Amino acid sequence: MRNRCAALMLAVLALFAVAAAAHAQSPFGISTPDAPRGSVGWAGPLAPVFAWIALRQAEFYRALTDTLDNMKANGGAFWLLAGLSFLYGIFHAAGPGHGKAVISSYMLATGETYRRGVALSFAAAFVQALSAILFVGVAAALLRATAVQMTAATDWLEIISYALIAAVGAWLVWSKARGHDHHSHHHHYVPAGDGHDRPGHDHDHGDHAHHDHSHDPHSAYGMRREAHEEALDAQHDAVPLIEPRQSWRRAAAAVAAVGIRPCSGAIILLVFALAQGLFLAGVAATFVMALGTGITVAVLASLAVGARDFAARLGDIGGGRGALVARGIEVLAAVGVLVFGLLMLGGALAARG
Amino acid sequence: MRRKLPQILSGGVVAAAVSAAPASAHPHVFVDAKAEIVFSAPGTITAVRNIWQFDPAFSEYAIQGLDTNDDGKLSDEELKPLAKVNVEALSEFEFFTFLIAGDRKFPFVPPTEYWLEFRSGRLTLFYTLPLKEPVALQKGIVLEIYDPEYYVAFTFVKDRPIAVAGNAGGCIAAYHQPHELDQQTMAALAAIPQDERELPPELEDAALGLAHTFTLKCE
Repeated sequence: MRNRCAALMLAVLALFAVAAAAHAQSPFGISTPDAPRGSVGWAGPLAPVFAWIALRQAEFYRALTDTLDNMKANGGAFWLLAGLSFLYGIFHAAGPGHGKAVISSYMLATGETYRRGVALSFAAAFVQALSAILFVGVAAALLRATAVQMTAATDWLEIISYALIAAVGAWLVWSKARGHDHHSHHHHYVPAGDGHDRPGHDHDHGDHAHHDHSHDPHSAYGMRREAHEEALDAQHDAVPLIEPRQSWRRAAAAVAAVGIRPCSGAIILLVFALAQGLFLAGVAATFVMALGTGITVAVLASLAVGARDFAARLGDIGGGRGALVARGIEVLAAVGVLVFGLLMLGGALAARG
Repeated sequence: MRRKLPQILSGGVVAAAVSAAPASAHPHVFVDAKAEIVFSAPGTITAVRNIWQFDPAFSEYAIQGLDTNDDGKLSDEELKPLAKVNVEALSEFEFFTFLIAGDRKFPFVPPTEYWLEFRSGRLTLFYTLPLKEPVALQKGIVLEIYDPEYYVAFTFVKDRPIAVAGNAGGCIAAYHQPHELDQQTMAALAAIPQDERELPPELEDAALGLAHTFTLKCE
């Protein structure tokens, strides 16, 4: 059991290591790609799927910039622009990129509910849109920066983003280590999304002592319903160990960590819109794009939560280990966020020399 | 056995959540390309010339802030630093230009002749990429131009995508389009069992079929 956990941990770390092996670089020295080259997506068995998503994205992106180009002559093209932005946003987030991984892992690590996950996903997408708009507004419109200078600036924002991700990861790991967070080993697992999604409500289930039931393999099944009811009661009575405000602050940190680095596509689109004298249309398109991105990330984050709950339920059937399984996933995800942040930070700093 | 399942599954959940994440980027640069193969003598190649016209959005992005004298035009002087940044960065990517014969890859050296032009909203990069050593035409030799990771989407122009230059004699070059993923390929991919690590060769080709290929022939 312990060996298997260790092996899993190693497997996860290996994945991260592959991810961070190559830092993002731009082939033309300007506009750094959003994700590193030579990483998982193009090598693994999913390569053709990512290739397909990339092809669709390419089509939408190209149509998007073409439409913006046409808008000078035809203002009615705005609705086409909005529609294409939305589709591009959906495909953009379905493709590779670390934002959704961090959000999903954060969801897993904190045992967040579906509703909170959806809110976080949209918040991250909108923060990223806002950062792109502010960035282009200041750098291109006010300072008249060159593409080389803007690329250097986004590279720094990327480093800050990775540092923040590592910090959020460290925070998660620290609260796991202190045990001041969420499901305890001794308690029966109660899936998230049962309506108990008030901030801070989904934490430790109190100190009810039904763990002696679940340690007895013979009575585990018989005690299941009773334990469930107790656990549900416990959830209602639970005194949150983490203040709601702290939990929101941590969520805000995660959102900021992911959203602070504007996406290259949005930057190019906004600069282009600015050059055409259509900056406001570009701003609107960026927000619609964020809506599409938010939808995809919300779906993926919900899938992560659902999968965790499913695994935990299977754990219950397999002998009352649901809480342990959930706990294991949370710890792995917390460590994952930390390691990912550190590796990406290291890679980005190393690439700067 | 029953108890192992959840642990395996939960590991899979986390692994899936993270592995989907850090893959490569999607194209933000679209290039309309043309190439020239330079011969020093019939049957001997010495260089490849690339002419890459960027899409309007990337062009505008690339030139912002470069019109330092505010005359509304971009002089060679004003574009020179950007051209230098472009070719220096491209050297990290082997210029997306690969001359191969079977397992052999013939190396290029960084270009000394390069410039940018900006006309009617489009930026175009011209450069000559010399081979480290002249290469004799041989069986199975092909020139491939593409970004294997598809950050840059290349399209070759319909009108004369490839030309020969220099002392080419009776040598000619032909252009072959990359085959993109179609619905049928996607369906075939979906039918592959989960535990299959290796893709069948024909699907691997489809997945990586982004290369624009040129074949050479001398009379």
